[in-house]
Amino acid sequence: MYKYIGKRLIGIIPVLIGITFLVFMIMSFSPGDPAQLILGDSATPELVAELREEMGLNDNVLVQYGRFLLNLIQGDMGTSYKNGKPVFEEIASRFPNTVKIAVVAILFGGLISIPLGVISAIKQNTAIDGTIMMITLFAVSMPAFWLAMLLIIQFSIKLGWLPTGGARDGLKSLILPSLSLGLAAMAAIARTMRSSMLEVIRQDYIRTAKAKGVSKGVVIRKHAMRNAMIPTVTVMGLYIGILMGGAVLTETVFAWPGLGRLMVESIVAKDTPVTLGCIVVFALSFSIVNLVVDVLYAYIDPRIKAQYV
Amino acid sequence: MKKFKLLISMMLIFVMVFSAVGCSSTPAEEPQENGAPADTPAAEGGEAATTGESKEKDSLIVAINIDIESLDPTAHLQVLSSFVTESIYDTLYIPDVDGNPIPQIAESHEYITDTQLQIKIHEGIKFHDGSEMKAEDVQASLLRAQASKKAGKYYKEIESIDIIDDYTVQINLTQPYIPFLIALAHHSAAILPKAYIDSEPDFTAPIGSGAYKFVSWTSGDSVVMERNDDYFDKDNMSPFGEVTFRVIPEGTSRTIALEAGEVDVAYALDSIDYNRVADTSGLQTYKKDVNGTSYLFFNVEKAPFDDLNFRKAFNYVVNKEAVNIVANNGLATIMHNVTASHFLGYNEEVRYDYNPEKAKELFAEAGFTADDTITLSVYDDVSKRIAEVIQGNMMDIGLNMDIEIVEWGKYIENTGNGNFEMAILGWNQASDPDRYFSQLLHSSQIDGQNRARYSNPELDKLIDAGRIEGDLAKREEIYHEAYKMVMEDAPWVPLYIRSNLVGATDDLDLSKAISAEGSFYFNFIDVK
Repeated sequence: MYKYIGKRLIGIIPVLIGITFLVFMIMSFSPGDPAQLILGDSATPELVAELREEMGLNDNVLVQYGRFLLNLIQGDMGTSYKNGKPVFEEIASRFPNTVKIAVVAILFGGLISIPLGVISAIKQNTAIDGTIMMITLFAVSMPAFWLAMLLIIQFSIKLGWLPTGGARDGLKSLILPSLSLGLAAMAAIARTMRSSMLEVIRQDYIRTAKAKGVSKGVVIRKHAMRNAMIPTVTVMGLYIGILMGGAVLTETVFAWPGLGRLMVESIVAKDTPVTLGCIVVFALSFSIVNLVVDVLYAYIDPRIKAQYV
Repeated sequence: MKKFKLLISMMLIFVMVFSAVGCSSTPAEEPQENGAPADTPAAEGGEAATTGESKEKDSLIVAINIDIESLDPTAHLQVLSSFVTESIYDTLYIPDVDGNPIPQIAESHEYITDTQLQIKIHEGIKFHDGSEMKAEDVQASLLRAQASKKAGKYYKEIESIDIIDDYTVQINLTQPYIPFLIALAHHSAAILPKAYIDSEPDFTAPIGSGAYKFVSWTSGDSVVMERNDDYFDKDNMSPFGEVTFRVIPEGTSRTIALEAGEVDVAYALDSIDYNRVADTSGLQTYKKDVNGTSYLFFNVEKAPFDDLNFRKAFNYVVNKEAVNIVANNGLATIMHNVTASHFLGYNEEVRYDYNPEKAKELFAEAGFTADDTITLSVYDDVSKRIAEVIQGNMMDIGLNMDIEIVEWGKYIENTGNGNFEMAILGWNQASDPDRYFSQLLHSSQIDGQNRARYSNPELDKLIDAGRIEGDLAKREEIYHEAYKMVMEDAPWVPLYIRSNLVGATDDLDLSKAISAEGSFYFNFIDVK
């Protein structure tokens, strides 16, 4: 198992190199001059040229990338073009916020959607099944920012229970953004749980257990659910990765100081060091989450564990 | 069938319930077409919003739309960052509400010759570290500002700075430059301790002499400052023990935070929210015209924009009222010349009001027909909407115009090197006409900020004369002529003067706090 984990961790390195190379090239060749954007549109061409030289922007793009990679290996992500702050500091201050809402969103999504998926499977083709599927369809169809606004209007303004945004009220601040994101993930998780439960409950060993007189609850909880969890855990893992990288709209509406917003702002400002730093963190997180999911498989299904040993 | 009916019923119930959750109890108001009056107080008896608990006024929370860039006053040109740096650091002068420089650290000034300016500072001003401000701090700070890449352009006229005594400096200029005091009112001319400058700080713990001391900056979230109880100007002490800036990027979210009582001031209200906030009990709005101009400019080196008749025709064809409505919900002030109307020498002797018939005539004289087309480049949603209005105006008289959307960085590049036909930009400077004419319309600035590539030797002479003329009446005459001359040549279509739209709780009086440049001095806010 440890050998497997080790191999997977080493395998992340070429992934990171590939992704950062691609993003670096895109940022380098996309229109707009970082030096001009830093100095403002009223800067003289001479000043812009001077700054470009200082920043090393006139060097060959492969040389620039090599410099970035060498620094990254030494733990230096560079400094932001926009505000001169170390990229690592910027990311370190925002990343935990993104992780918080992603994880809580998945927990929300999981807590609601796993039972819904199970119930939906058990009550297949009934009104309950139809209603649950309709709810999940509604949840996945709603634009994230619109849902966020609705939640703010209802829970912050009308009821006054929760803050309208920001991250300074502890757990209270976390609820609405996580709920907004979690509802979107809920649909995918519920549907996956439903379809894998349907497959599992038709298996022979489930019929055997029922025939032997095992109660329905025990059959569902101890036998069916555990076997149906593999695809569900996969989807949940994928969603953590997606939420960590793609929660920009929710972060904007809730004024949540997360990494998604930072990355979009850095792309618009052509702040390449920050963009690359964010990409590295996202890619690393995604890879590690997927590794954790793969390891979890071994604990959910001992048959899979045997393959790693 | 029965199950299907049940499913449909449940679906409809669900949709109804969700719609009810989303409905606001406050009916949306249609925006006023002619713009709201300035300084509109909250309407009595209006629909009550949920304002939450009232706040103690030893704290002020301000919602801003983007995070600040830097605490180094010379390392940014951003308005939001200047809110913070102008609170932490003082300058020799500050702009008053009309943008004219008034003394702050400076006690008095005197022009010894037209290139030697002596400034005496108040004695006993303390920095936040307890040290007293002396002339050497002023010298070091201004030279640092001059050396800065971003802000240095405002101080290029400084040849040297001499220390006359502990509290007096003499600034020696390379040439006479009458608006120089305005440069000293810019946030980048902040006065820092020389010892702090010499330590090459990273500005994580900035030291100034301003009405506020820095407490913390949480990236992407907030900046906190506390009152400086040793502030030298006892008449302008902060009424707030603490000021917090909260970054709330989404306009609607800022308005909601204001209505929910989570913030006291919401900066940069969306124009669609302005009237609603004005009508909310417990809240008020401020509409302050800033010097920021929005204008369409031609590339006068390219045909047909090199034809005066064409440019005049285009000025007549643009319906500026409609542009103002789509761009600003009618809340900006329509512009008829290069700057806002309070500038020295401003006049509208040459003015182009919307006149499609006249436009049609002049287009015909210029030989521009329905078989021709021109392109207006834009870079964001607002400029695109403006372009669509103008495209509609052209279509109304049977002519064509294309719209090209360009990414911002490329847009700046293209308009800087003449690779465009028409474009839209803005400019926001201090309240002196030189800041506009010399940078945007002087022929020496072609390939610089004179993106219209406009060259008029007669106008150049007027601009050169205006910058050095010390007699106010003569200076006014010079610019009077300049304003007239530039509109006769029509290298631009002036569109509107931007307004700062601010919402606040109605126990605050912000009327003295916001200047025409967009500066916001929080210690000038009165608590009613």
